[in-house]
Amino acid sequence: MKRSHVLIMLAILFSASNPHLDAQHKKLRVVTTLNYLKYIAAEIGGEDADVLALANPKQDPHYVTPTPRMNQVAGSADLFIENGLSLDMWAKNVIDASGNPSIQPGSKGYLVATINLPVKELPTEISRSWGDIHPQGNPHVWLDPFNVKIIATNIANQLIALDEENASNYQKRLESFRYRLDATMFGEELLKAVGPSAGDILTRKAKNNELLPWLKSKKLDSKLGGWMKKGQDLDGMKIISYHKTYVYFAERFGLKLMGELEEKPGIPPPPKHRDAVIDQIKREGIKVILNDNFYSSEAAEYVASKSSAKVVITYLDVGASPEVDTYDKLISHLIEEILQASK
Amino acid sequence: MRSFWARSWAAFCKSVCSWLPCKASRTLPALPLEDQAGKGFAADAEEAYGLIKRLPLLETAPLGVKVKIGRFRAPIGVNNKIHMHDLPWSTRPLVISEYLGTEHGNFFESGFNPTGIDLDFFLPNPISETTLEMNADIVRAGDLGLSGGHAGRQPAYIGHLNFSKDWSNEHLLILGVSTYQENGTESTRLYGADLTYRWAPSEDRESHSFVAGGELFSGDRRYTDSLSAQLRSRPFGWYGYIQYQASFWTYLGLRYDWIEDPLDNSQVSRAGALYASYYTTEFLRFRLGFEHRWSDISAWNNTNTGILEVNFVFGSHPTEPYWVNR
Repeated sequence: MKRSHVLIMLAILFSASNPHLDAQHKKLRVVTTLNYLKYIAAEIGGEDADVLALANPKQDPHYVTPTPRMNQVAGSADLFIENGLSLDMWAKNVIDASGNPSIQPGSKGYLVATINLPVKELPTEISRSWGDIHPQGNPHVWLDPFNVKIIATNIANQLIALDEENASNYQKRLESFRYRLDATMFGEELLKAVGPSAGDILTRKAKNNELLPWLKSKKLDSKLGGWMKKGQDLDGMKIISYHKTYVYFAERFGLKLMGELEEKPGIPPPPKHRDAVIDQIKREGIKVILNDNFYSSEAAEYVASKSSAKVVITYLDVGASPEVDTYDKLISHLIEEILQASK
Repeated sequence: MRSFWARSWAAFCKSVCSWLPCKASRTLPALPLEDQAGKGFAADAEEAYGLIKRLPLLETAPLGVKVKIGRFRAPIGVNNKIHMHDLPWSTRPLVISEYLGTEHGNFFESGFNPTGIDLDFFLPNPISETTLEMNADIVRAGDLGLSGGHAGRQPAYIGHLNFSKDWSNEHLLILGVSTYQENGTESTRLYGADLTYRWAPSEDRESHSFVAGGELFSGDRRYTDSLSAQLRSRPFGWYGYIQYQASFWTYLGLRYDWIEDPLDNSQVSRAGALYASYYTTEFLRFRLGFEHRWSDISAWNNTNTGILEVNFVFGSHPTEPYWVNR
């Protein structure tokens, strides 16, 4: 090969402009896989970050097909955030095809948002005969608002690591976001009544299932508001879901998950299993079937038609419908729809 | 040529690989084991390359460039880049096997997988929400089917430009153009255009999808025959296909091929094929196919072929082929 060929190739490499953060460009470019991550990153990043999500919020997050545009968008990102826990495994293809060394795993520009979350349903052994199980545990963590606070902290820390100049801005927005989430969770009146570190205290009590007794002992139970107040009506309610999506939501609001329509994750239910679910619904008086919007509702509608249960079409990601364009609305919508269906 | 590649690779490894972070590159070997047209099973390195994600001396990758060095399926069109087991059919289109190359016939692995260097990068483009991606390759010449192994010691140059747009990840359109050039005592040029369209709804996506596409190639080969006469061959060929996902497990497809013979352009061959793929899980797939050929070449004319393909995947959750809606 002639030297001129090598020089031409090197010229192509060196002649292009630097697409990444430079002296003229002040905002961080943040790319997330899912829209709930975009929502949180935008809340924390504020005017110091431009945030873009790759997936369509209506889609099944397990099976997003990477496109050249996703690869190119990731190519100019300063920070790439994925959910992790084997939910958005397509993210690896995007990162590889982006040609962006800054966002490769292990770099400061790469973040698995769920990296330090307490994960549920971690399998002790794995077999393909069990269907499309998640080997790192159930990944639908964001349906528990307490986990979203941890995710927000992880995102803030990464933004600060990349952009120390605006660290105080990110920190302020994180505190504001956590406060707003706590207020939506417990009610602002209760937060003010508890006093300093109210959010952390109430979160710890709720996680230890001590919240109501503790509030009663402090004579603060009448001040409870927000989702925890509304969610009291969900406590002990038996539900069936199409997929194993609601483990974290159920734990937080006291729902009892009685099973799934999918006999094996990722595989549509066979008729025999569907009939077994119908029998279970009748036997246990289950009133609600939760069906994620991106799954076919055919099986759920059939089961509902043979029993007294109602199908609730649920949205998993922020922006999946105009009604759920914020995280607050996503959780509120889920609580209200379940309560409506259970009447 | 061979000593140049060997010296360059050794020098590159010595000077660069020692300080490149291990996560900035990876190597990928792909070894098919196949019965080579009744001559017995043998293993062959279909692809073996290093992919460099972090370039030496550069903080960032200009234009998002990725460098591939080694043996790889060349970015000529769409079909050639894909491994046979990832195709929506069991055989390569005739234009791929005849123009890009096949060692053991149309019903075995075909295409062009030379040794060389590939640069893959994005181009700035003025149309928003679209992507322009380019491949620029320098490879060892002579292995392309059309050139028939007569390119001498010259390198060959490949260019491929992709324009793509997607709409909310429901509709995806990719248009591409390709060129292959090798010069020397004999010269070969190949020009191609490709189109791929894919649709899958956002909701209830798992049971519905549609893929359509095709490629056309125009070749230009100048060579000398045994009597030292200067000859020129300009064959043209194309294929088109559609595939519909009828249910969660089942995909149905049609393909039509049309090519002029690379040596005698007046000889035309056509093939029509039907395929049904049954996808139990991402680890096991069955396919039934039927192909009929009409051809001016008597050995191919009015031939019917029935195909049964079973694909097992061993290992972790694989990346799905482009036509699979999972």
